[in-house]
Order: sequence, then C-alpha cells, then structure tokens
Amino acid sequence: MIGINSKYPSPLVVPCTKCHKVIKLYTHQKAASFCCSHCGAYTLYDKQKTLTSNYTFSKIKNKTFEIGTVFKIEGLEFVLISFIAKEETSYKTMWFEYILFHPVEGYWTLNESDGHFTLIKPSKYYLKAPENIKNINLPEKGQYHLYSKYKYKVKHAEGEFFDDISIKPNSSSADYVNPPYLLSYEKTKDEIFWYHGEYIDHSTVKSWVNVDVDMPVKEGIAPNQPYSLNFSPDALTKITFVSIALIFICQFILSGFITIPKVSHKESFYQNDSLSQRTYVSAPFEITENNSAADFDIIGNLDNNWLETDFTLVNETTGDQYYFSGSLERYSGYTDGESWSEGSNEETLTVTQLKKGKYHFNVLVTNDIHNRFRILTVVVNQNVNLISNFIYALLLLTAFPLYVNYRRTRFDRKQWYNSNYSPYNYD
Amino acid sequence: MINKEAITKFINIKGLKAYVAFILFVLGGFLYLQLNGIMLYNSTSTEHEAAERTYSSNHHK
Repeated sequence: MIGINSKYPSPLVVPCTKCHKVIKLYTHQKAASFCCSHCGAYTLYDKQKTLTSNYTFSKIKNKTFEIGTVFKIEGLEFVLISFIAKEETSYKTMWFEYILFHPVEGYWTLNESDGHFTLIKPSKYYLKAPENIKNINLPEKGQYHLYSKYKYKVKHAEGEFFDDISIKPNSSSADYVNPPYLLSYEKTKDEIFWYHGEYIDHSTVKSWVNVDVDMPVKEGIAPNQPYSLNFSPDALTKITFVSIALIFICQFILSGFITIPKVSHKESFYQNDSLSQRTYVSAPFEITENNSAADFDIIGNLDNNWLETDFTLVNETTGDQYYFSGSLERYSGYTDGESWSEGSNEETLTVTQLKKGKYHFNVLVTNDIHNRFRILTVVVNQNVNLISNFIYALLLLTAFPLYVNYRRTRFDRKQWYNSNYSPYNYD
Repeated sequence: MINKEAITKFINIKGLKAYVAFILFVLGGFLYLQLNGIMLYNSTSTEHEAAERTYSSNHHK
C-alpha cells in the first residue's frame, strides 16, 4: 500500500482491461471509472457494474505527484487518486488536476496551471444562474471578479474517478478571482457545481507530502496569485495618510511657535570707486537663537550687469567664521520684436547651524570694471524655517507607498492580461 | 542586476512594521534637522572654520 494511513482499508486491486497491469482503487466502490497509468486505457463501470473499455488516453506530461501519494492538509490525510489534464477549447491552454480523496471530507482538487497551484474544495456558495454575473461578494472573503468563461475537454487522465470523464457533457465553466481565492462553477444541462479555491505556494505544497517532488517552473502570474508584498493596501494607505498628517502638524508647530523668522540686520553698500573689487564690513548684529539658520538676502539694482559676493560671517562671541558666496546678474533687451529678460536682482543665501551671539560680515564684491553696480543691500533674517527639509521628508514618506502602488498596479495589469474581463486597457 | 525576489523578501521581513519604523525615523530626523538649523541639502555652499584657527582674524575691524 502506497503511503495511505493504515487505519484506512487497503486499496482495491483490479487489472487493467487492456494491459492487465495492476490498478489500485482507493475509493473502492465509489470509483465509477478508472484509467490505467501504464497504457492509458479508460475503463468504465456500467450500471450493472460490469467493466467496459472503449477509449485510450495518450500521455501528455509527467505528473508532478504519483497516484497514491498521501497529502497531509489541515491535519487530514488525503490520498491522490487521479490525475486529469484538461484543455480549454478556445485558446488551447492546458491545466492539470490532482484529485485528492479523504473518507470524510470527500474530494479536493490540487490544480496545477503554468506551475502555479490552487487547492480547490466544494463551495458552500451556490447560485443557480450565474451566466451574467460579473462580481460576487462573499461576506467573509470579499469581492470576486469574473476572470474567464470557458469550456474544456479532458486530454489525459490517470487513476480513478467518481463519474464518467470520457463523455463530458457540454459543460460551461467560469472563474471568479479575489487573490488568493478563486470561485468557480461548472454548469451542465442538469446541474451546477461550485468550487472555492486558494492559491498555494510551492513550499506549502511540498510540506504536504513526505516525498521529494520536482516542482514545475512557474510561468507568468496566476489569476488568483496574491501580490507578493504582504501589505494590506488599506493599512498602507492609512499609515501613509497618518504619517503625512503628522509631518504637516510638526511643520505647523515649528513654523508657528519655534522657528519664527525675524530681521536681524539690514544694510546697504554703495560703490564709490571704479575698481573691480572692494570689501565692505557690516555693522554688528545679534543672532539670538542657538543652532538656527539664517537667510542672507542680497538685493541689487542691476541693469545688464552682474556682481559676485564672497561673504565671511564672523561670530564675534566665539570667533567662528563662515564662508559663503553668491552672485546676481540681470540682463534684458528687445530682440526680433520681443522684449526679454533673464537673471534676477535678488538671491537668498542660507547659512545653517549658527550659534547665538554677536556677528558681523565682510563682503567682497566683484563687479564689471566698466559697469558700476551702484548699490547692494543685504538683509539678514535669522531663525528661518528650513522648508526644504519638510519637502524632502514628505518625499521620503510618500516614496515607499508610491513604489508599492506602482509595483502592485504593474502586477495587476500583468495578472489580468489574459482575461477577457480585464479592467485595464492595454492599447 | 537587482534581484526582484530579494527586494520583495526584504520588504516582507517585517511587513508594515518596517514601514512604520521608517516613518518614525523620517519624522525624528526631520525634527532633529529643524530644531538644530541643519539643511539636508543646502544650495549655498558654506565653509565653517572653528575659532581656534581663526580667532585673530576677528580683530581686523
């Protein structure tokens, strides 16, 4: 006996009607038909329970799991009783079903499609006429969306079956997805079966069996494959909004109560020479806040002219010096019937991490020797709010959710690419 | 080339907790910068010389 729990009865052993090799029927009298793993001969019990054989399946692929393998799922031991290869009639895509049997739970199916696995169980959900339904809401699982409608035919089979698989009636099927879940129906003229499935990753499938298995290579994205990042989109959105609100509140408090700018000094310097360089020394001024930033606004009155400034800010209390520079240029004219201008008569230079104390600055002004700048005004604003830090922090906080959202959208588009009911436009 | 699975695994290690930790890091860093008058990126290139080396230059006035 291959692997099945000893508390179960041994399988019924019958000979193949064609090659006479041994076939084991794990479900005994529940088997309505069986197919030989060796020669593909399909045998059916008729109403009188006599055997008839009139069909042979040709082999499609090597199975991932052998008939008789025991799967321990949710603490229950299932035995693999059959393997079916099915082909969708329109696009000729193929998938494989491993039928698992448990005496109490009945039949579960491990579906393999493009290397992806879904465990399918009979569903409690039932709808008699679902043909025009595109969305189904299951309160405990959420919204399922129609992914595909199809018909299929059996291309290959091995093992035992609870009905006749050779004369499949003209059944129609549909899959609704809500990753990792799947809701499917199979409708014939007389009845409709509903199934509920869940995407299973390879490591979980491997953990169910006690034998070494070569897992198939995954291709593409399965319709019910969950997005790989295990974040709830709602939780990510909520956390992002809360973090953005927090940083706005911090910025509001800082700019309203802590970093309140004030003018420390304002002084104008005049050009009284015809040199290209000279140094001005400012009057002393106070920086009253420790570890603060100050803006030095340099304001000129240039017309088709330029100047450069090199500052040395001196803390008269500690002796620390800060060197920084800036330039102004302002040009304008009238060309080809249109007036133009470029440059600016104002620039702001920011000096950070200033200690409180008494300061003055020396400013070396360089200008065009043939063109006087006349006047240069310097305004010192202390304790300014560094808005650029706020913008960088905001960008950092939103970068991660934007990245996750980008990846999720890309994933969803790929996932729905093969569906006739995709919400995305691929033109 | 960056391995996409490695990125996914890295991000999934702690799930949303890693993102919350990152948010706290950014908020803490933001407050530290603002309260200490430090700019993450300052377009004004500034050099600072401590007093010991340059103290004598303060008395040129």
